[in-house]
Amino acid sequence: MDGGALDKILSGLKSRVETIATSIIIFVAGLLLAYFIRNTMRRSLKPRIPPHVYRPIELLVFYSLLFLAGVAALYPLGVNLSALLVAGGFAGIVIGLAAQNTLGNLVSGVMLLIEQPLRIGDPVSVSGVSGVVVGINVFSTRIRSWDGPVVRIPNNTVFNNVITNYVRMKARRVEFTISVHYDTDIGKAVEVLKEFMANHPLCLVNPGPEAFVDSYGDSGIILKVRCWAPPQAWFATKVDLQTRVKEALDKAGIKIPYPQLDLHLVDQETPLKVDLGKCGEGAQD
Amino acid sequence: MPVQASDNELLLNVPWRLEPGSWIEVGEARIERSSNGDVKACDSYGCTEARVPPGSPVYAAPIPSIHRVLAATPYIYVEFEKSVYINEGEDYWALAPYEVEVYTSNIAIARLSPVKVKFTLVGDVVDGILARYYRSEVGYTQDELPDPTGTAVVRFIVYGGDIVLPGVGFNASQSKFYVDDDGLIYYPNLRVEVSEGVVTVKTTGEPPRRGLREIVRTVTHRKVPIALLQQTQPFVMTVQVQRRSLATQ
Repeated sequence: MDGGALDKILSGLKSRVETIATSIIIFVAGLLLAYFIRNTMRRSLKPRIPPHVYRPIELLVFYSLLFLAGVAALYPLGVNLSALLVAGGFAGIVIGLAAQNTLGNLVSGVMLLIEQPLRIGDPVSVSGVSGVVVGINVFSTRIRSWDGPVVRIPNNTVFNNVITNYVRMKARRVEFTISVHYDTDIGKAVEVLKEFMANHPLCLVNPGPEAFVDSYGDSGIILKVRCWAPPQAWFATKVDLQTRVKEALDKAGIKIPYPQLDLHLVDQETPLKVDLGKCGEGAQD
Repeated sequence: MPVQASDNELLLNVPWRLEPGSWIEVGEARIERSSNGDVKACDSYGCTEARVPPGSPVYAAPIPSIHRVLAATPYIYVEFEKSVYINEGEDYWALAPYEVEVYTSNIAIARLSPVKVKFTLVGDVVDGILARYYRSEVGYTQDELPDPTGTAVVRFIVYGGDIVLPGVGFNASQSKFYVDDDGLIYYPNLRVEVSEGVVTVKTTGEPPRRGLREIVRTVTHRKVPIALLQQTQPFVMTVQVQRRSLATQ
């Protein structure tokens, strides 16, 4: 072997080593960058969002960076990146079409976690399901309905439907109606009801309690009773008020009427004819 | 006397230490310890009973009134009987509710409210502040205040401008308490900052006057579960600023 050929081989070897070294350096740099970004995320993002949301995001970012570092490291080795990316793009489209719903749920889940229209423990009503949120995952939201069963709703459905959250306000109004006898002094009844609510610990001072005539029913005057309560105690307040309101009215001598029907006879001179013979055999004895 | 007890010695030191056979009354709250050590703690909203070995110490101490009857907010709002015109740098006195926590070792047995509980909303239904409510006289000096049975004395100092205040709210979740030689309970000073019609109230760690002892508890009470995120946030409300016309100045 002559010197020229040896030089050529050595030069080629040197060039190959340099290329491999460059690839390794690119990959290591990408790896270090991925670790740096992951650590930064752990410091700044992790404390702010729930663990079940943070973990997939961290994995996605970290492995995406590793993938990019790997692809970039292949470039000095002469691998055709264009073909690789085109193939990857096609694969992405195929996977995206095949998993359209799943990806839709994933994106909706991320949006729900960012916007947070509901949180774990919130009493809500979503898409015809009412209950307490027991879990918000990347693909679905679980709600324990009032009577117990846990309902799983895909995040896509949750995100695209009307969500009513019952604890996102500072106060919630308790409202019910109660009927009082037509002989009742309405002013007194209203005062009794207002005082009753004013003495209840969970009826707010402001906005204050209200009681007023709602309508005139068949058997009595129907009063509407309203007070505002802390949202987490809304149901307890409603139940307690409805249970004890009768006692408060009884104490004040206000009667709750029975259903009644007044009969007015047009012809009062002719006696009312009662045929006992048609009242059954017992009546004839 | 704001607090009554089976013997005067019990009253001298806060936290109050309940030996078997003793009792203590703070407003409408009453705590009894029977001779066999059992504890019965009652207020207007119910009673709690617990069996405690006679040798175990049982204490009662003031805590912020944010637990009874519902732990819904860390804020207390004291509405004044009459709105007060307050000049910058001046200080005023009012009464604010507190609760009594009964505990043994590091376990809370009961929390009692010496006064009737009410809540109110300061501001809007969506963005306002839900607060424990109390209506109080307000005085230029502490001596003007009525008998503080079941309530603590609170002093607030205004900074930043003259203002008419209908009441003052504050975040009580981290509040300390002080006691004087007569057994009166005090909240720390409240710093009321007025700026462009926005009133921000911060709880300081300063006693309202000299000669008070800080009440040191052997256990720390649990945090308010609902409002964890609001624990250190000051009370902020908007008021209409009363500006004098040039003619009257």
